[in-house]
Amino acid sequence: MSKRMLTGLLIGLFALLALGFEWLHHHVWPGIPVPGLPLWLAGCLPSLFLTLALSSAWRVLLPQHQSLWIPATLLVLGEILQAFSWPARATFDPLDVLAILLATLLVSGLPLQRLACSHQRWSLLLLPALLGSQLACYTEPTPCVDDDKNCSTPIFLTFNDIRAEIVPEYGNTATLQIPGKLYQMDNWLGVVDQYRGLHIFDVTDKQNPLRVVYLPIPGITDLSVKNDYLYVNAYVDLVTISLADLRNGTFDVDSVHRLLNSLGYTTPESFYDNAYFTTEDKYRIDSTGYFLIGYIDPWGDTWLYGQRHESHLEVVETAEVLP
Amino acid sequence: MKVCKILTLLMVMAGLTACGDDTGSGSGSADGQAGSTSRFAIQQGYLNVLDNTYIKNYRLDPDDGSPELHQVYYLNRTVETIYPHGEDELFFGTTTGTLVVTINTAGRLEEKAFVDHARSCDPVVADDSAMYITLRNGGSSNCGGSDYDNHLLVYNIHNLYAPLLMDSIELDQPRGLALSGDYLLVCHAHGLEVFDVSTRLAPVKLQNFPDLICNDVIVQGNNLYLTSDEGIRLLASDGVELWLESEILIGQ
Repeated sequence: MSKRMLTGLLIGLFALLALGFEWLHHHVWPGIPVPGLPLWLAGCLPSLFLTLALSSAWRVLLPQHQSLWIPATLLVLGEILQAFSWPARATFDPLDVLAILLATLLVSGLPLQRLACSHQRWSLLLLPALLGSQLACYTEPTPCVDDDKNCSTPIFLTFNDIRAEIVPEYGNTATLQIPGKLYQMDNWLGVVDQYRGLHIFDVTDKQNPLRVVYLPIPGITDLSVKNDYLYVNAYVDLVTISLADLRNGTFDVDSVHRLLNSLGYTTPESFYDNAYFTTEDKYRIDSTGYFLIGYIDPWGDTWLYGQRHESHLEVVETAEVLP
Repeated sequence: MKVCKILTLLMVMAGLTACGDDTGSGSGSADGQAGSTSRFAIQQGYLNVLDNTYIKNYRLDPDDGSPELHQVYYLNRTVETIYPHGEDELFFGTTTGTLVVTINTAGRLEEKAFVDHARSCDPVVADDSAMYITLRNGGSSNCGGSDYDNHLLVYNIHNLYAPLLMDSIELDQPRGLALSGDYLLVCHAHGLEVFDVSTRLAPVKLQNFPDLICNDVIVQGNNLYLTSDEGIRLLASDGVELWLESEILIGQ
């Protein structure tokens, strides 16, 4: 067997090892990628093997570019971009950068230039394929085990939160977040902001609907009106609100009547679709008095009511339309 | 706000002007109108609330409006939507069929008919002679899925005890719907479909408005209110055309 074939096999083996560790990390032993190895070491093994494969391939396939700064820079850049959740959602680990540099040093010390292929520039195609392979696993949701960095942090409301005094925000201050059901009566239009509150618009002038008031009512999805009383659901409570008081500006705690624990409530699956919680948190989701409204994912992003919030929003939206 | 006459509606809108609470597009004896996907309905001074597999019936105090639990009905299926029909009938859209219920003289709910259909989400609207149900298989986690989903079903309900399936029209992911005079408006994945239902049991597709993608629709007089994932749209009609009056979008 020629040395060149051996080198090819070695490169392939490194690439397979890198993919294998990634796969194990994501699918078989979540959080504990390799039994017997500490997490920090196992976590950077894919980067190590990938760099070994890529750098060796680089030197064999591109004899005129024996310097490895280009693949190393590309790989490090890829790691740093992960800190911004681009192009896929992943965790940035500084140890990965160290692994890349270490592997680059190792490969640059090997006498690979003697095995270089002179007429196989098409083999360059292998490089993007290898680079891409690093990203293959990152779009998979990452399961979590207790206390592991892949767990999401749930965001709960408690009874105190959902039963806080309803203070109307008069005027055009609030903004619509998650449009829900409508209710039309005379010249006003009630617009449910799902699980957050109720906007009331004066629609006398159809071209200029005016937001009269916004009522923050956690858990609201439905409403009806009878005899100047507004009926809404608020998680497990059925809430009666005096519209007269709201109109007259005499709204206070007595304008709200709450029938406690009268309705059932099940957290919509969309609130935790892509989240993995610890056993303790999962238990809390199912217990009385905890209303899950979202979570903070392992990458630090906040999801509320099934929608992503704040950080990296634009970046990820751009990434999602990429092929 | 801008008035953009974006759309032409190929119909004489006598229907839209004629419609009111009594044509069945509304919320019965509630003061105002909810959409077909509502889970609250007030009738005869009682508030009916859908609560998973229960219908909770609250008596509303005439003086201070406070609700008091009156009856709880258990249904062996998940109830998704409630539609008040006239003064003493309620139609419940469940995940496996539509339940027709009357309120008897003792003020109790009495099952009249159950129209079985594929497992799906299914708001319903009706008038005296026809009942329209949309079946949808995706979206909400409660929706099931089967081959027969994603249709608008038309039932003859002259005999409420035995609704008869008259027609079935394929639509992609139909959602909320509203009946207004001789027109039936159905929200679906690709816009707002308007049907001519002057022949009640044989709807004829008039026009689809692809810009008006919606989850539910309310019609009141000449005005239409649409709710969608993007926001709320207010539309109006002068009898010939349908145009957008204003929008309240997310963040506004």
